[in-house]
Amino acid sequence: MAGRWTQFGLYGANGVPGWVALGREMDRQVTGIKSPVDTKRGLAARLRYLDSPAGREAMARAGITTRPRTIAAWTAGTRRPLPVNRQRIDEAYWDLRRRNLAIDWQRRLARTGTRIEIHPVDQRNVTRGRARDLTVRRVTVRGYRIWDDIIAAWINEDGEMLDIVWDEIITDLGSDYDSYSHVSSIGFGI
Amino acid sequence: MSPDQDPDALFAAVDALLAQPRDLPAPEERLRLREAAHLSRPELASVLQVAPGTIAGWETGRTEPQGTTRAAYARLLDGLAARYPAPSPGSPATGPQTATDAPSDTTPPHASEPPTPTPAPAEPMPAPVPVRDPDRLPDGAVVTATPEPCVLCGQPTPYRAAGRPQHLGGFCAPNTGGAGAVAVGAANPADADAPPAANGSATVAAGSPGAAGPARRAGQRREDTGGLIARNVAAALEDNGGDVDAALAALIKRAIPDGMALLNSTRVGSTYDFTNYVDTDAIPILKKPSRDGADLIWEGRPKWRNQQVEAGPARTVTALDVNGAYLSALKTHLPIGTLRHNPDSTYDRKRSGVYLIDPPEWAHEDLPNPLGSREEPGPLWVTDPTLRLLNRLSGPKYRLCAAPVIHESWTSGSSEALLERFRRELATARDTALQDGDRVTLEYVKAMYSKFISTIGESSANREMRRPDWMHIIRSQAFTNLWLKAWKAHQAGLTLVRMMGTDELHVTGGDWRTVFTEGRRLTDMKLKSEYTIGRGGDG
Repeated sequence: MAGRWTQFGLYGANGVPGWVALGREMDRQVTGIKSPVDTKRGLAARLRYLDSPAGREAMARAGITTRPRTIAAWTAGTRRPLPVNRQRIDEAYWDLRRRNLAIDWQRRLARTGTRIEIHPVDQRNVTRGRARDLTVRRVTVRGYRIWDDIIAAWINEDGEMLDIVWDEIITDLGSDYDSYSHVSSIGFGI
Repeated sequence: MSPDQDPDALFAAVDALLAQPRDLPAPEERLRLREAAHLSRPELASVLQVAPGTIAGWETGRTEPQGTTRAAYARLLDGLAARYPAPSPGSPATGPQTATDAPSDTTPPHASEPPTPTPAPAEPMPAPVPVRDPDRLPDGAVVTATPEPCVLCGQPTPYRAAGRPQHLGGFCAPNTGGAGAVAVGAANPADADAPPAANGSATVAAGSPGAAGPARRAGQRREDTGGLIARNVAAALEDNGGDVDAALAALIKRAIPDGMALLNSTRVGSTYDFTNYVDTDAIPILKKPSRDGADLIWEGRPKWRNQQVEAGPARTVTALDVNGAYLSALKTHLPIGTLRHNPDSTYDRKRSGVYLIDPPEWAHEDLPNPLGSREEPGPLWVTDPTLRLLNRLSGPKYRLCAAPVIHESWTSGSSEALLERFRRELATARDTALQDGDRVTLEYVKAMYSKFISTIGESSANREMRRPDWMHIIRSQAFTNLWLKAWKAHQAGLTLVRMMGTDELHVTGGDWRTVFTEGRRLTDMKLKSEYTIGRGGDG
């Protein structure tokens, strides 16, 4: 992590590391089936989404070890999965959904770029005289190299990689970039 | 009324008027000159003592400066034109750079009909050559006199160079070739008749403004008015080969990104830099409980019926509609930055956001509750416009209810001007479209503002902005505006029958036209329908 902010929060600043905010912002933009997995509709929709080689892989990753015939019966609606498996189906669905969205995002973000709005740390409770003069900053992030890394790190939940990428992003902010190693939140459109 | 005849005559008259003071360059040129000089609109506006929006009007061609302001603006533009000539090679502006050696190798662009290889000036009438420095009075001020045709382009100019009328620095506004050609012909009377072939086209071009000119120019003028909006509409119509319905469908499809682009274009040079995103995770009351659940904000949507009237004798009720209610509601106090929590009951009118209040008692059966039809008792989260209205109604002027008690709030410093330029752009385009009967622009503008408001919350249709607080505040403002309209009708002696939706007001017991103007403009009310209510035939 960049910056001289070695003991973050010592004087009362409130925020999260930039890479955490980056991951949260991407999580926030994941859309998908709205019905919960416990409803018939929500379950059927998820199983239909997972009815593909990639979907079966996702189910395997989520720890569903039942025979293919059973899964086919769930999809057909003739049998209903146990609660524990419904939970795994839900996990597998969101996992696959994120991966599929990521493919599209990667292409779009790399090509057109996006403007990231960085909200600095909350300094209301900072000891007098210790507060920094921080404003909302915006930086455009564009290019295959950086977005490939961001998306891959986000999919694999690789915090270290996201952190490295975040440092790269804030370097573009200029000399006070290390004030933005921690932020209160960030926002961007995909 | 014969709609075929009158507009033409009108436009002809207007064009005749416009043709008189031709000392100003075209709107695009005005914009280019200001930008070339690195002057902002507010800077220029303060110099000319007008509003920045007025400058914008001049630069889009929506309006024209008048009187002394026009003269001052003309002088400024001429000065700038001398300093920043137009870059296009064919325009007369290329002259000034080579003003000193012009007589030897450059012939003035407009005098190109018969090549004049003899650089030697012809006796009293030298070949018009751009002179860089205008004539000046002893005190340094530029000489001005009665506008006369410029020797270069033929457009009237008050300035003199080497004793002859010429635009400052030899720069002439890029104008229709026809006018220029004719003027040059007039300046060189010897050439006027000599080459009929070369002058033929010029005569045709110059003759056309009289016949087809007004209509074409009027159309052009209108095209300039809305800037981005008009350009988009024109492009969509062209793409769809003039098919109005197809163009409209295409425009409505892209109304959200276009609206955001318009918003961003109006942000340039603005005083306050608002944030496009709020962290809804950090503001519990804006956080939705589930993916498609509603947050805790009460917008005060009106849904009110006058029980007394409905139980009373039969009467005719007029249903009125507010025009563009959401468009007008864009003018409201909007929080600029991230909302901050304030756990006590203080109220600062320079801030805006959402407030947890105890709703005051409402004891008026003939007036709708400004809080809408809230059925749950107890404290509720309201937005800034609702709170402002309640505070107003509790004040000495109204005395309609007790003051609301604030428990806590989430607010940020606010400004009423954040969306003002955006709103004005849309409102102007709407007004123009109404005048012209331009259904495409009208629907497009409507889609832009309504979709803007409905998607600036947490919508996957608009990722460029996430301000659910704004969405709630703008809607509440629309409801507040409607309540104030209802109050106006009530004060004028009308009986309120219903107030519902965003923009519907039903009244009876008098002539509503004495209270509101009927029409489709934003300040007017639209007559929706008339119907009968109450228990009929009770005598």
